Amino acid sequence: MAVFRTSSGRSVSHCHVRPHPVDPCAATEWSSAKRAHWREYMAEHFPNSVEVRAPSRKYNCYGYAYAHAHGWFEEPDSFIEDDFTEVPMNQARRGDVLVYEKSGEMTHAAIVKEVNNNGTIRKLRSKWGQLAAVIHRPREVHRAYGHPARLLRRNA
Amino acid sequence: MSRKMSAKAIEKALTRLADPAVNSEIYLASTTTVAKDIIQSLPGVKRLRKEGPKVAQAVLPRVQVKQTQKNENFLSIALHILEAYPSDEVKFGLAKPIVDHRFTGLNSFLAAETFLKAIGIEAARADVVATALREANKIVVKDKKTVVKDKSSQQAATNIQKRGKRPARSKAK
Repeated sequence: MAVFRTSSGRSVSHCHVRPHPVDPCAATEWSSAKRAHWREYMAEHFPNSVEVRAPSRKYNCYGYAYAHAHGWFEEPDSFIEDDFTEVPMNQARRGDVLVYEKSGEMTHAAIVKEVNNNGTIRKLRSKWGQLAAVIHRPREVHRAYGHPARLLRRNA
Repeated sequence: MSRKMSAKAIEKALTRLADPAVNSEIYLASTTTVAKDIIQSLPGVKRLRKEGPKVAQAVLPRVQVKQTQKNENFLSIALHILEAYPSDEVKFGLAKPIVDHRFTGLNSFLAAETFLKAIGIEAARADVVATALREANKIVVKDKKTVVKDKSSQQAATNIQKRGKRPARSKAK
């Protein structure tokens, strides 16, 4: 595993796409044909989502939300503990991170893109597994991602 | 109570799960937890995990062939099904591919988890892959030694046989 550090200097294990990857990561990035295929897939299954970054195996939702798309992270706890503070759901700001949970387990993370006048979230952008990073509404996600559970703000 | 699946029905269910049109959804998973949730929702997976050891007998050979290892989503499904059938077959069947690093991405974690369950070892989530690799190494090394030992015994037996067949050397010159 490669090393990426939180603001407190704690290392967070992650990996990159490489011909001989360190477990667990993929060996190759998507080809252009595969990217096109996944775009069609998203358009068919999630027609309201808008792509902002191409389908990629290089990083996942945690890498995108917590580490500037640096790599594929399986465990986001260190980022949350060291770099973020929880804030009320109705005080969202652009750039905050919305944590999704299902059955009490963290499943997904998304960056707040637009906020309503009452402080609730209107739109988010997040990376969907090995597919694209997309703009979507808080509840318009794959069912396996569960529901919005916590809102985090990066420490100043 | 539902009827038991025939071998043909198991094969049919596995063939369906190998179809990218059925298993592509797994690519939406960022973590193994989400991957498992999606896998569980695919047609027939829950039943295959409950059906009985004959499912493991049908799945294990598929996990070991390179063709399946290229279909990473089907491999994820197969590993998740095998996780329900901890046994020596699963233990020995996964040890070598784990040591050879033949599983990548989410599959390295799923393979590690399935293997550790088969050998009856629990590991912290962050240590699953490393622990499985260490334990699989022990099995593969032990297996190699056994093979070498067997080969040595065979060679010795062959030599004895050869010596037995060989005409006695005449001491007379």
